[in-house]
Amino acid sequence: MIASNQNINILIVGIGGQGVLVASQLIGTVAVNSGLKVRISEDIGQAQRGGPVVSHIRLGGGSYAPITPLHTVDLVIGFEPLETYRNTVKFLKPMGDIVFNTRPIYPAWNPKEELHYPPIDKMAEIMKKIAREVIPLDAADLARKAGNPVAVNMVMLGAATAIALPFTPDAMKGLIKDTISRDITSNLQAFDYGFQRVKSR
Amino acid sequence: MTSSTILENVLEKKVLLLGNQGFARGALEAGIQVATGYPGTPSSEILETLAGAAKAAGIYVEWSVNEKVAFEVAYAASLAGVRAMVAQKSVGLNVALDPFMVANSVGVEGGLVVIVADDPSGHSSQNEQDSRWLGKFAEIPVLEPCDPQEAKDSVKIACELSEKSKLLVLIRTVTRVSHVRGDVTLGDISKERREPKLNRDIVYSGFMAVPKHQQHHQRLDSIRGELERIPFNRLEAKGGEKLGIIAPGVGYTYAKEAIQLLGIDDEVAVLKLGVAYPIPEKLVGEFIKNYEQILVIEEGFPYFEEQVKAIAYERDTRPRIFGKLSGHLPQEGELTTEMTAEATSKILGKQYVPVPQIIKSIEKDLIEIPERSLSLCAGCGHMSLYYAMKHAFKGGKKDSYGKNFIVCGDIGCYAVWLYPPYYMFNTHICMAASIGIANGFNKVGIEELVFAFIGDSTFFHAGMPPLLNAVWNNSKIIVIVSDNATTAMTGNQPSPSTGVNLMGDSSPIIKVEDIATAMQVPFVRVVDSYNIKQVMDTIQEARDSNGLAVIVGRRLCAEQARRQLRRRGLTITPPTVDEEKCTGCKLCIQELHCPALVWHEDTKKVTINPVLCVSCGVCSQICPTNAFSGGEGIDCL
Repeated sequence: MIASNQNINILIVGIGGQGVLVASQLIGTVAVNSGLKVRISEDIGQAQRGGPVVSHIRLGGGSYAPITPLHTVDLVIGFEPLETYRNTVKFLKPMGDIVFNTRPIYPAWNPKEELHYPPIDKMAEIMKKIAREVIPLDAADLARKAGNPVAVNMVMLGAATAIALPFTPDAMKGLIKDTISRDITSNLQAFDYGFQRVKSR
Repeated sequence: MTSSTILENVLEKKVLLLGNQGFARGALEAGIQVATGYPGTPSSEILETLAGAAKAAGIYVEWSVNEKVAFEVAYAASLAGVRAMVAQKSVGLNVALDPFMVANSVGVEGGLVVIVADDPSGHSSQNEQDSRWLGKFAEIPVLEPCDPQEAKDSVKIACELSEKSKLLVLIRTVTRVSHVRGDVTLGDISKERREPKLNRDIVYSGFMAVPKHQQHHQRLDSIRGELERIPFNRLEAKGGEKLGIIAPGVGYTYAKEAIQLLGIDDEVAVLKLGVAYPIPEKLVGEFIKNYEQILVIEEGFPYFEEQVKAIAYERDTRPRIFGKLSGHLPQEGELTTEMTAEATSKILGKQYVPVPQIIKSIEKDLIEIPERSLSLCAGCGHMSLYYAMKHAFKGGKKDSYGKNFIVCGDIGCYAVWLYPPYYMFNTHICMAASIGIANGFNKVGIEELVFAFIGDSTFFHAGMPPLLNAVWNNSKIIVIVSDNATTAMTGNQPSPSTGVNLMGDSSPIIKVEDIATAMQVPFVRVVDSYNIKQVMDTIQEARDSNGLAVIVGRRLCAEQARRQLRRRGLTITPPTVDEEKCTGCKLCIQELHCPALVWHEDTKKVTINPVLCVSCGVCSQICPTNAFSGGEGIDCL
């Protein structure tokens, strides 16, 4: 668990529609139910129009400011590779962990047309220079296998629980069961696939 | 998650609440019976959350047509002895300033709480402003909560202060309080429901300003002591520290974070403040006596910094006072932990290294990555109107963006046109300024054709007076009103064009063209926003009419359409792209920036994303090789 004057900083990044906010609220609620101090700041800007979403989750009595200070994030949970890279270089602490979905979402249009979407292994290589662990997984594929193609966020939550979230898989799944109103079985299955995939690495 | 949580009455239970949800819960705990406002980031969720619980709680919640009306509706409730609340964003309070600056002196009966949500850095606003000054301007108490818990608690505190002093009370929040989720301990929901009753022996008027003003000052003096003792004010000091930090509102969170980051807990004392007006002079005066150096960490303009200097002068004490005016913190943009740590470490002569060595060492290895640009939603009606406007006229002197006319822009989703690659607007000032400024360009004699582009909600908010002005003063402009039957930018709140209000009761659907006709606008047409040829022909007709023209483009907001389709279990068949006919010219993508158009780098062809497409048919209309065909549309709604 987290000592009263300590904190853990988690960043969830992705594209609008991938379920970043649902995932961050789930973590936040499990945390509140465990008696932890919680601060979540969401940068949602143009999320409705396929824009990036960044959620800063700070757990524990040692956190004060609403936004994570630069280079202090313990865990980046990336629903999309480009956004994972973008926010890792800004926010991940040295020896922090990254778990990310390798399925890209290409920008609809970008102002510098000559700038292409970089190769994912190139971005991973750079992130490995900062991080302790960089764990890629095809969350979109795992979600599909679970019978729920949009449950990328559940896969990623499972993955995060296996590496650095201070909660048990049962605590997370218990809340998912209470909160999600539809497709509970496939959502929990997606969570399990993500969890197992990272646990067995 | 939210409506049920807001109504939950398990005392002392801890829940995760957004700051704005905290205000809504606070309203229920305070016994607010009437709540009004207008959508505006970062305030919109306050009323939305409260509305979700309104019928169950037996209270009235209203989106008013604009913030001035919202204030007046809530004020009336207060005069009738009932507790009321208004919520809006910073520039929204600017709109309500007329009644606000009279009600301050006339006074209230039932507690009246005004919540103003500032947007430091202007992430979603046309400016950044510090609305604490508006509270000082009005000489009314101002509270500054620092997190979701204080947000919730502040409403009841404000109501009690308001009734004690008979003054309205301003609660000033910012993005990093309103849009932060935090653990909140719930209080008891008030069961008090007062019968409205107007005291008809009193005339509530601002007339006789001087005696009213004297009474106003007496009322303010009567609660100064209590304001010092509000629990949001807290001294954190052990004695003997080298630096005293005054940290109002959310500034407190950045101050504490910086202190922790630098490991200087024993060297810094903190005066946390949650009252911005009247400034707690006793607390501040006592604090600044004990330190030779004071740093003010506040979100907004140097509000406290300036006044602390005056307090120091009056108490004959001369600490060095640092903050924004001294250059230790920037005077523009929102606070960050990094700048707070930088300022603090500089004053104490400490080393602060924001970027760890390992990150510095890989800076040369970092690659440049593409940004994700802003775009409108797939199938947005504004988008097709944009295309039609851009291509309606050939010839004429073109500006650097290829336009041979002037477009005065307005507040709404179409504000995206300020950015690349659109660059459609020449001006973009405030609600319905499109029409007002268009009037002015015509009257001053600009040679180019002048358009005003405005949405339906913005038109209802403030667009009617400038349109009337155009009729009365003979302005020759073309006003295009894009009616998508909702207030989309702020989250699809209902507007007078939707057919329903915030309480969920059905209401008449107000049509912009009826208003324009009633105002005797000589040229009024309604067009299908998706019909490019019809829109272009109508724009040309409007120009040829050589007078004032209003063109209403009507199509349901594409996001609303997608929601309705999902709810009704209907699916759209998007158009198909004939691979042989598609030459990869990218005209559709460059002209429309529709997120449903997918460019394939490998095949150099376009396909359509069926999840996003609503089959508006616009791409089909503009493709030079007719590569798109078919598609069953959004007309099923």
